[in-house]
Amino acid sequence: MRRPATGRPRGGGARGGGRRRVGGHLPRRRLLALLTVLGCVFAVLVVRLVDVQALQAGRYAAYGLSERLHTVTLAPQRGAIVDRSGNVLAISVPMTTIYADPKLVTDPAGEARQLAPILGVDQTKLQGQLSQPSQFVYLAHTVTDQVAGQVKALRLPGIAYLDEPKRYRPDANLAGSILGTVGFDGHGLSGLEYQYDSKLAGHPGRLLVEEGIGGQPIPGTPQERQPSTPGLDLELTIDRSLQFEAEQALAGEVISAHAQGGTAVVMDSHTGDILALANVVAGSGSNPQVTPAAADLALTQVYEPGSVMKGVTLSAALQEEVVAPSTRFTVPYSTVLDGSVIHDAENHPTEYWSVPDILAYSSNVGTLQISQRLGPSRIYRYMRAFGLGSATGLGVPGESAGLVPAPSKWWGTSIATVPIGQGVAVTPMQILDVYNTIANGGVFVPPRLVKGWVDPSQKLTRAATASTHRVISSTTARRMTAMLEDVVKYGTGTAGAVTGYDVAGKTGTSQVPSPRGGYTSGAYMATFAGFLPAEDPQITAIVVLDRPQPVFFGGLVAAPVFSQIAAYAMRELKIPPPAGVNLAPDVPQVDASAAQGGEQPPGAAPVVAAPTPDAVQGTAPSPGTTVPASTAPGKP
Amino acid sequence: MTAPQREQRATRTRGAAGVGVGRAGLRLVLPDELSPATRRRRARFLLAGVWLVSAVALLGVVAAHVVLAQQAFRMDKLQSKATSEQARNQALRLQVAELEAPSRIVAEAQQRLGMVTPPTVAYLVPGRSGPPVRSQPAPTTTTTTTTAVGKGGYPPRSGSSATSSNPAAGTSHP
Repeated sequence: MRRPATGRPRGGGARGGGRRRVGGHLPRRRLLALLTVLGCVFAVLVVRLVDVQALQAGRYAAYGLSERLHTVTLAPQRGAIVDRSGNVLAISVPMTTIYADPKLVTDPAGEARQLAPILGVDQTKLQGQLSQPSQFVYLAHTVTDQVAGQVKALRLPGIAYLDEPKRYRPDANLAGSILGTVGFDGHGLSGLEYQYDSKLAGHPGRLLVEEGIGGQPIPGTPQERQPSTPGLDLELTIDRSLQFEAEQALAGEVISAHAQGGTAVVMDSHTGDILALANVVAGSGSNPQVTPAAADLALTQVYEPGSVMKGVTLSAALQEEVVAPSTRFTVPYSTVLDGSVIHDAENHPTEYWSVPDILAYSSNVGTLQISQRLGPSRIYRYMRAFGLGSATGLGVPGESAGLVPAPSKWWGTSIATVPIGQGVAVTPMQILDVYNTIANGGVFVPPRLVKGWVDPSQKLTRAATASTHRVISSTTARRMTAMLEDVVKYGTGTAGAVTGYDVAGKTGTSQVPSPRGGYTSGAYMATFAGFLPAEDPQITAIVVLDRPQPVFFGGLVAAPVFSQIAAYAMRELKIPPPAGVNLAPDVPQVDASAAQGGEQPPGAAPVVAAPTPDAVQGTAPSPGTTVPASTAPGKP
Repeated sequence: MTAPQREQRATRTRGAAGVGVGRAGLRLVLPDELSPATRRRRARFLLAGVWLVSAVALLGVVAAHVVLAQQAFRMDKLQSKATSEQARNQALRLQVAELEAPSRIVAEAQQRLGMVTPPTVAYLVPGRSGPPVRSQPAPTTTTTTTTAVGKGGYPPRSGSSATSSNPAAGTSHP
């Protein structure tokens, strides 16, 4: 401390004089005290600073991060469902759903006025939604990017957006009964969308981003983006054009036959690929339109098939050699078994029929005689071998395995009814598989609906093929084919003929069981199952009509639909008419003169041998004649 | 060393001769010693240099951050563009499928273009003798104008199939 020179030497150490009142120890002590207090305060601050900045830095940083960090779920792209050529049947398009947080909405009336015309909703309703005492309210679901862009441009507070894809079908009705529907959460609810949801849905992604108050991402901060995994595209065996044609033909017949619904399935004979699967139901009440069924009836609906079961019975009989194709039976119109009367569909005098005759005219009494030679256990064994009573392996939700009673459960009359398809429950697909086995040379091939999966790089991974098994020998199959050709040429199935091709098929007309026991009167299921070309089968198909009326015979209502679909299939798949070849010379020709039996309505003109099939067997019609489309009486 | 300290040191080393020197405030300058002015100037230069380097470094950091932020914005933009392009792709796939939908094709062909399905199709098979085999009249898949497809149902079939027995123009088949 400087002091003014007073003359007194300071020299060595100031010994400090006595106390001074001004500027002495008192202010110095206070200064020291002040310094001490300040020092303590600063010390506390330093301690706190060290604590916040160094010791608990992590915790406070975490608080801040939790305010800024947002996790955004990235919705995955759902796979499309396509047909065997890659044509889209169902596809998801990303869209925007607009919602509001009413608590952040500053001017409900003004915002509603601006939004109403863009969203196309009522302004007062919108205003009410924006004034709700909640923090979340949907304003518009899945709007187009154009609409979303217009709303975003307004920059209204409290309005937010989220990604919500919408499932579209390019053709509203096409394959409607098998595709199924998708719910709001992007998962399948029914049909194929449900069955294969795990592969179609993909996996959601995650975006961790730091956002500022306005919701904009803060640049320079770490962003963790886990992209979503898109779902795989499901490629079906379905042929889009054939599916459309099958649906149209079936719908047309359901309307003209006043049926309650129908099913049509077309299959590739060698691979079991399902080329078309149509299920329709008739309109009711105010809506007369025929629409796709809500479920896959071909696999979920069981019914008593009727005479189409004779394909199984006679295949078994030929295979077991209890009859030969030339074996003849004395067949009356009716017979008595175990106290019940068994009779044919139409009255006829007692005939001396060969096995092909019995099949062509669908004689129940004749079939009974053949069945009695076979016996219940062999009949049951062949039914099971042909796939009846088992699920097809398609895995369709709600699929029924049907019901085939074991011999131990047979009544006294079962030997007459079961082989003609009453008292058993089957699905249309199972009957199709029976005839496909015959078409495929006696080898059962499981039906397939899924061709494979396509990843985003367009690489197709084929679905696994199931194993096949032989049911009847190829000789038996050829003989059965020849006999089934006769059904279409001379018998009950003439309406199933396709000009230029030899069709092998079988009709069936069966009663509908009543829930109270017995059968409902006047209610019938009409079936036609067949394959073509007979010489080298490529396509097997079945048509079932549910309670057509007043005309209900399979040969009259189901066979024409088969003919229409099969003719289209031959064109679509570019299968030319083959040269005529007699596959099984040991099978005698059907006695066409006795063609008044079988399932013909009373008063119909007798079916005469059609000139048409000769065209492919060498004798061509003279040039200029038009080959008639169909020779079935009574049906245009 | 401070000036007074140097003063005292010079005084001590010089002995008697330096007594008067020290008291007069003068001292001997060493040969490589810098003048205080020079020293001050150099110090100022050094400080200025440090300031300059710091400034440049700080500007560099700022520039780096600006570039980082720009790239982050750009990346954000590209991400959203990629997403919107994917969405557009899906929408276009849907549009293609809608245009190709069989119901639409049939309706357009029949109503707008006036096309009908041919009455018969003739197959010409090489190596086979005789006139061409004519196939079944192709089915007329009909969509009547009033009951539009897509209103939730299939339209009713419009009566009988094509009646013309014109054997002209069969399609040849390899």
